[in-house]
Amino acid sequence: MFVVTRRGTFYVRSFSRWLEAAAVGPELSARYLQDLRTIIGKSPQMASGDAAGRRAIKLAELVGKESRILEIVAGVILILRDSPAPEIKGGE
Amino acid sequence: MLLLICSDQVRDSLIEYARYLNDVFPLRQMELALMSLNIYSDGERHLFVPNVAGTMPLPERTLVVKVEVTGRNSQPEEARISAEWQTPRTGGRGVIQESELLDQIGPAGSPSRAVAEALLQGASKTARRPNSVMLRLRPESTTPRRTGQPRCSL
Repeated sequence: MFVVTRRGTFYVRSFSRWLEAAAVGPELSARYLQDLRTIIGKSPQMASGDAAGRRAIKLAELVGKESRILEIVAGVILILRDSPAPEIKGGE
Repeated sequence: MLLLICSDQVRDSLIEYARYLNDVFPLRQMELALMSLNIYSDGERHLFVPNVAGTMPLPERTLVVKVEVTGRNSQPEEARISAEWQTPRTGGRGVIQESELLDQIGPAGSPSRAVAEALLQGASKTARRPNSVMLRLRPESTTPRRTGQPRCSL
């Protein structure tokens, strides 16, 4: 759902895993990202090659926004958890 | 080999640099510890308080024992057994406990750590919460199901 790094930064990534784990569309992750961007004021998506989070958003910038972020996170957790596994088309 | 750096005060930039080295050289064979040495004195009595400000232990290695069977009929003589130490493939990042992560983010009471605690605890609480909706299973229909249609309905 999100990554908190030891450097005290925050980012989101790996939305493709949502599609592998649950029968949801890519619009769910797009909406999730948009909602977080609205709350934080900038995109929390991981920059290319920055898994360590050096260039990610500082946690200190999220002070006062935790509960709104958690509302969004909780909503998506429930959708993902209640969604069935995606059906895999298999060949005969 | 253990490299011990002692000083009266360990600056945050040095800790950050040690973390950087930890990521860049995951296969190093050296451990590093940073110690700040505080001495308190009233003129006669002296109190020496060493404090470990940060450590950079060797990456944990795992012994992997492989049994490879190469023959078709799986006869014992056609199996090969090997054992090797496995090292992390990427970076120096291992699995760490939440408390250790929080300690690295900042001291207790700092804004960064407070945000991290709120996010991690809030998300894990939601993930552990029982399902908020009931699933009612519907018997499989005899008609073919469309691909992507859920197996159960609300």
